Amino acid sequence: MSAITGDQVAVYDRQLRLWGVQAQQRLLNAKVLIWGLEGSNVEACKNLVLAGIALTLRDHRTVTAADVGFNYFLRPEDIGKLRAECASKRVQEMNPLGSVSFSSDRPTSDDKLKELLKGFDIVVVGLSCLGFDFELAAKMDSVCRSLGAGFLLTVAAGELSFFFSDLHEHVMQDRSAQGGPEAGPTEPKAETFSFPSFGSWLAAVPELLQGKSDASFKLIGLLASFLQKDPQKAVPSRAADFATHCREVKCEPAVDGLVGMEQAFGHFFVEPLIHVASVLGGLLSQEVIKAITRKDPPLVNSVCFNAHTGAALVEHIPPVAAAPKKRKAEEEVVADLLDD
Amino acid sequence: MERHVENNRFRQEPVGGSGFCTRKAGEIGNFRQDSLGKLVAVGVKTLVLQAMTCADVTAAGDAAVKAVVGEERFAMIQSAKLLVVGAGGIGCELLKNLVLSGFREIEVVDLDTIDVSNLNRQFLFRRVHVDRPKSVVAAEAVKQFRPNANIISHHGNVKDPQFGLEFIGKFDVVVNALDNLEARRHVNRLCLAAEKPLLEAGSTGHLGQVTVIRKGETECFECQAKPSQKVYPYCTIRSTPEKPVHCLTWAKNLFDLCFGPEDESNLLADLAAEMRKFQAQESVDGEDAGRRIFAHLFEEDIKKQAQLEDLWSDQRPPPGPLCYEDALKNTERPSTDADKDKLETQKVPSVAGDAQGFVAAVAKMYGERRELIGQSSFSKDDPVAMDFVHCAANLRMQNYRIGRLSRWDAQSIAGSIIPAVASTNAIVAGLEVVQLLHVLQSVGKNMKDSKARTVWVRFPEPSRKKILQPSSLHTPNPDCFVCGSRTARVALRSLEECKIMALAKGCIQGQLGAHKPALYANGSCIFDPEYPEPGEEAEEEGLHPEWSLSQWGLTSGSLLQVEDEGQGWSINLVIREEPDLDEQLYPGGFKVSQWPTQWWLQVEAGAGAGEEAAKDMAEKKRKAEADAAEATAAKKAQLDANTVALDD
Ligand SMILES: [Zn+2]
Repeated sequence: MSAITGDQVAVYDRQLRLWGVQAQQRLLNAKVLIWGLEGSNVEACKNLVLAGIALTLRDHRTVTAADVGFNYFLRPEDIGKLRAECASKRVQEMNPLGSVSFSSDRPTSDDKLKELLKGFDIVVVGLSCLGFDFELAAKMDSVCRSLGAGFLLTVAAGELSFFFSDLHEHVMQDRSAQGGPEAGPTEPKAETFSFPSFGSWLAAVPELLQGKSDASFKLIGLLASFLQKDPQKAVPSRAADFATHCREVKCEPAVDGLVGMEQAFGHFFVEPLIHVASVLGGLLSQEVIKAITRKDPPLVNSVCFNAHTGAALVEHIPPVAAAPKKRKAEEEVVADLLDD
Repeated sequence: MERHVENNRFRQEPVGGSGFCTRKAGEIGNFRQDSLGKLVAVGVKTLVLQAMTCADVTAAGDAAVKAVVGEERFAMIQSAKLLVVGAGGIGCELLKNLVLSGFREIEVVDLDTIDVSNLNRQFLFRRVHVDRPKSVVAAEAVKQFRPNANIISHHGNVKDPQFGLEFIGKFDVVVNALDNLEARRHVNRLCLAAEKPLLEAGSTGHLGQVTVIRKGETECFECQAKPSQKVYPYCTIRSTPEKPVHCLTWAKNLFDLCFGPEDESNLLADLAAEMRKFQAQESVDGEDAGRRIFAHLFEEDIKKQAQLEDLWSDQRPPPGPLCYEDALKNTERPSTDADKDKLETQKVPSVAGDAQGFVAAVAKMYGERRELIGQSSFSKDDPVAMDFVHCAANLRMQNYRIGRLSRWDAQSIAGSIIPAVASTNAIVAGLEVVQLLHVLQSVGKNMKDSKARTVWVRFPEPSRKKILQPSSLHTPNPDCFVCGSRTARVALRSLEECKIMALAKGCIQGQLGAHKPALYANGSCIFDPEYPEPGEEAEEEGLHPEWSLSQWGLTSGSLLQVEDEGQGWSINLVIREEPDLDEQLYPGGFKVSQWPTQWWLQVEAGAGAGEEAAKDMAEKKRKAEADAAEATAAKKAQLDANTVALDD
C-alpha cells in the first residue's frame, strides 16, 4: 500500500480520526461501481467519492429534465447527453484527490455482464437502470459472488427507500474505537457474517409476503412477484394490475403514509424525495465503507427507510430461525422505552 | 438483455400541475411511457434541447416531488419561510435537501469560513473556496440546483443582535445545523420567545440525532441538562495535573498568556510578568527567549512546585524538573507494534523533539509572527500555535510522569475535534427534512397527533431491528429554567468574595447559557451587559461590576432577576452561600440547580421564613432528586452516549 500523502491527511482529517489510517488506506485502494445514477445511488456517489473511494459510474440512459431536477450532479445543458459521463465530471470535482470514471455499457450477453462487473470490490446497482428486472439483478449478484465482489441493490418508492446487500462470507476484523484518543486501543476481534444471495432473497418472496416482515419489505416483495415473469409490466399504467396481483396473492400491506397499492406502485417510477435518498444513501454508503474497511458489523441484509415514520428497519430475508429467547439485556430495556 | 430500452432520444417535457401524478400518467396527451416507466414526450426532436431552460428543470423536479407528497403538502413546502442556522457538515446536506424538495424561501446564517478539513464532507465547497464564508458559498452552490429559489446568506454569528427576535419572527420554522452547545442554547431561547418551531440535529462520527422543539408541547433543548464543556479545578491545572488534557489546558492558557492580549482570568495569570517580559523588548532573539521560557516553566517553576510538600505523597510523587540540555539528550522515541500503520504525526516524539519543537515555536512567534504578539489566541488550525501547545503540554507531562501524546492526539483533545463523515450528516439532514414536513403539517394542530419524532441514528448495529430509531417527543419539563418555571438556585462559596461580574460571566453566561444578561435586585439594575468591566462609564451609570455580591447588599436567600433581552429570556435566581462548596465538583465556583415553581412561591411569600423553608425544602428536594437521578442514570447514560451530538 502506498503511504497517505500530506494532502490526503489534510482533507481526510476528520474521517481519519473516525476510522483510522488502515481503514482509509483500504478505502483509497478500493474500486466501487455505481450502476444506475438514480435515487439513493446519487447520494452514494457523493458520500463515497468524498470518503476517497475510486468510483466508476455506469448508466446507459441519457439525461432528462426530471433527472436534472433530482440529480444535483447534472445541469440543464446536459439534457440529451449521457448521464454517467455528465455526472462523473461533477462527482470528480467534489474530490480532486479521488478517481472517477464512467461507462455507458450495457450487458448484452452473459460474458459481457461478467466483463462489466470485473475489477470491482463492491457493485451498487439501481433497479430502475436494470428496467426493474429482478432476475437480471439476481444474475448480477451471482456473477459478483463468483468474482468476489460485494453486491448492493437499491430501489425507491416515494417516501420509501430500500436496499439489499450481499457481502457473501464477510469477515469483520475490527470495530470502531469508542471514546476518542484518551480511551486507548482495544483488542481487535474478528467475526464472520454470512449473507444470503439475491437469488435466495427472490426465492423467499412468497414466504416474505405471508410472513411477519414489516409492510415496507412486503411492498418490495410484491413488486418482485408482480414483475417476476414479465419486467415489461414495470410501467405506471399497470398500477391497477399490480393492485389485482396483491389481492390475488393475499398480501396488501398497510405501509405507513401510503394509500393503497396503486399509489404505491406509481411511486416506483419517479425519483424518490431527495431527503429520502439522502437518508438511505447515507446508510448504504456506511455499508459500502464497512465492507471495504472490514470494520464494524454490517447490516444483514435488507434495509428499508420510511420517511413517514422516520424509521429505518433491518431484516434478514429469507428469515432466519428465531434464536432461543434470552433475558432482555439492559440495552433492550432502554430501547423498549424509546420505542414508539 | 434485449429488453433494455434505447437511449431515449427525446427530451422530457416540463410537466407542471397535477398531471404528472403517476396514477394519471396514462392520460397525459402527447407523452408515452418508455419501458423504464419514465414519461417521454413523443415526436419532439433533440433540436429543442437548446431551448431547455432552468425553469423546465425546476418544473420537472417539482412535479416529481408533488407526485409523491401531493398538492397540499407541496403548497406548504413552496410557501414556507425557513431559517437554516449553520452551513457546515449538516448544513450543506440540509440546504441541498431543502432546495431540491421544493423549498423556496431560505435564509442561512453561519459565522465560519471554509477550511481544508471541511472538504471531506461539506460537499458544496471546493479547494478554491477555502477561507470564504460558508454561508455565502453554500447558498451560491444550491442556487445552481434551483435558480428560482430565493436564498439569502448571512455571514455572521447567530448570537449577534441583528439575528434577534425580530429577525426570527420572519420565519415559519428554524432548522439548526449547528456544532456547538452555546449557539444551540441561544437559538433554542430565541425560538421559544418568538414561538417558532425549531428542528434540532447533531452528529458525531457515525452517530446522530434529530428532534423537534415547539414551545409548550415538547421538551426544549435545555429541558434535560446537557453535558457542557468540562471545566477543571484551578489547582489541577496549575499544580497537580493527572491527565494529558490537564496539561493541554495549561498549555493553551500559556499560549494565550504569552502571545495574546492581557487577560486577568487566564489560569496562569500569575506567570504573566515572567512570560511577557520579552514582549516589551524591541528586538528579541526568539531562540533565546524560547530557552528562557523553557527554563522558567519546566525547570524552575517545577522545582518550586515540588517543594510544596503538602501537595505530594507516595501516591502522588512531586514533579521532576527538566533542564533544556538534559531534554536534548533524551532522543529516544517510544514505539509500539502499531506504529507501522501510523502517520508520522500520530507517533509520539522524543523529549528532545518536544524541547526543540517548543523553542522553535517560540522563535517563530518572535520572528515571523512578531506583529501578532499581544493579539494572538490559540487555534488548533494554526500550525505554530498547535506546535507550541503540543510541545509545551508534552514537556509538562514529562515533568509530571504522564504518558506524552502524538501531535495528532494532542490536536484532537486541545481542539475538541469531533470526527465527522459525509454519510452521517446526509442521514441526519435527511431526517431533519422528514421532521420539517411533519412540523409544517402540524401548524395549528396538536404536535402530539403528528408523526414528528426524535430519531436516533444507531451505529453499527440496529436497536430492535431499527438502524434509525424514532421515539416519541417528550412533554416539557415543568422545572426547566428556560421553558418551564424559570427559577433556579445558585450556590456559591462566598458572597463577600464573589464579584457581580464573575457571577454574570461564570454562572449566568457560562452555565445558564445567557448571551448578554442584565441583573436586577429589588427592582434596580446591579449589572448591565453594556458595562461588563469596571470603569468610569460604568460608575457614571451607578454600576460597579467589580463589587462583590455582599457589597450590593445580597444575602444568602436573596432573589435576583436576570434578563437577557436579546434572547427574550429571563430567570429568577435564589442565591445561596455554601462555604464548603466542593471545588472538585464545581470548579467554576457555582452550583446551579433547577427550582420547581412550588418552592419558589414559598420563598416569595416571606423573605426570612422563605429562606428557612427553602433550605428545608431544598434538602428534601435534593434527596428526592438524587434518588430519581440514580434511577434514571443507567438508562440516561446510554442515551447520552448518543446525545452528545455535536458536528456542524
Ligand atoms: Zn425546557
